[in-house]
Amino acid sequence: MNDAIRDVSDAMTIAVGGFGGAGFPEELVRALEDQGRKDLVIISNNAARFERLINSGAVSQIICSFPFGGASATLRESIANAGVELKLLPQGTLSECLRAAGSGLGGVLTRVGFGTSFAEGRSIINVDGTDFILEPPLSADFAFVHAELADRWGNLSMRGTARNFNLVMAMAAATTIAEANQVVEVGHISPDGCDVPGIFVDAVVQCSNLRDARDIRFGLDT
Amino acid sequence: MAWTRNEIAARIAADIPKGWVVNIGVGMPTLVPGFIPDDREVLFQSENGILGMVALGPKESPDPELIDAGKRPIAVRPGGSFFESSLSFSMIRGGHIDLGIVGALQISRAGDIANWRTDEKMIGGIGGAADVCSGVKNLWVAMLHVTDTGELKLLDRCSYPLTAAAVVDRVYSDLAVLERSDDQWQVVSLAPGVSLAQASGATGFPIKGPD
Repeated sequence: MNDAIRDVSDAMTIAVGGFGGAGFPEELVRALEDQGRKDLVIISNNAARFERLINSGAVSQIICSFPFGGASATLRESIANAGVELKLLPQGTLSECLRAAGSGLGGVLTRVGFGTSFAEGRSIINVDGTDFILEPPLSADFAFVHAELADRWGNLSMRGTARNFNLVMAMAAATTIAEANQVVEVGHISPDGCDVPGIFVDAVVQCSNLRDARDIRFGLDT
Repeated sequence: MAWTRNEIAARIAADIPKGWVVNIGVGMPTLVPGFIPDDREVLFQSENGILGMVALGPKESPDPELIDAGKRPIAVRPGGSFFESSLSFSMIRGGHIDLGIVGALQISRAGDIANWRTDEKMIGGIGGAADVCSGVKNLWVAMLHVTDTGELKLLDRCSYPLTAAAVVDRVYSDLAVLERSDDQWQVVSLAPGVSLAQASGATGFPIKGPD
């Protein structure tokens, strides 16, 4: 893991897949904690699993939709103490801005947030009589993603609701590293069951601890 | 007698037609699927990437890769599907979801909804709430009519930051079911023993009695 992320440097933007614990690249993030970087920008749906990284002073900004649930008092303090800037986007806007960056598009026109604080400071574009908020694309230097299966070409296969943000994070980053519960031979992943085509993935690492050893927590605060 | 939380959920479930695709928010809305009869096919979507979500059976063990948007363990029914986030929100924003059921802190006469934080400085999580409230074909709100301390939640204007503007179609509260058309609100039904005067007194805008 440490070897896989050796090219991450200070002030880089890291896009991290996962929704709560599902599909979250726990081992890559643990390795990042050990790296001692500074001023990282983290893009991820939730912030709760970055508490150790935040406490170590590695993070300057988190771009997310749901930082944490109501009971995460320690994380709230950590974010305040470390001076981390939180930037919130509606969840669908977050995923679509990442997808836009990975798709060569200049942004997203959305109605979501219209008439609310999410429209503040945004350009409004009228298309055939309807106003839309213009959200710029969201790209990253690195993406960390988690898969059930991966092959050396970077093809990934996920299980259940572990797909979530992993595809758009992989698309949006210049370099994508995937950790997998199982690294398999090329050809093992069926073309019908490939969730992330290998073209979006640059490196694949085998998880050392399978799911049973992961930090599994259920509930709103994870 | 005002309706209980379970009675509110059952009242909502009774109004969901066969064949609808429904996104449910956290809190009281999570009680609704339990009141849908087995012979009525209703598909529940969760924005983290599942269509056909069902409750985990008593003998099934939780799978960390199979959760709902509240990060609780769930299961999937036959005919269900999994997908990634951008496709999930294409379903939500694209008008493919028949109904969203959400909770609310405040609702305005114009149908604005505030359901994610009580002031601009508070650290809160918008999550998928703005997308769901703006994108679904019908938005129904499950809520208690007033706060624990008796403050009104149905107001001429919301004082809390908005999640989405002019989107609420119905409110199912402990006192009444209300339906909105522009800025006109009609009582669909009142809880047993609750008078129109009581419901009106707990509402910050005019409501019209049931037909």
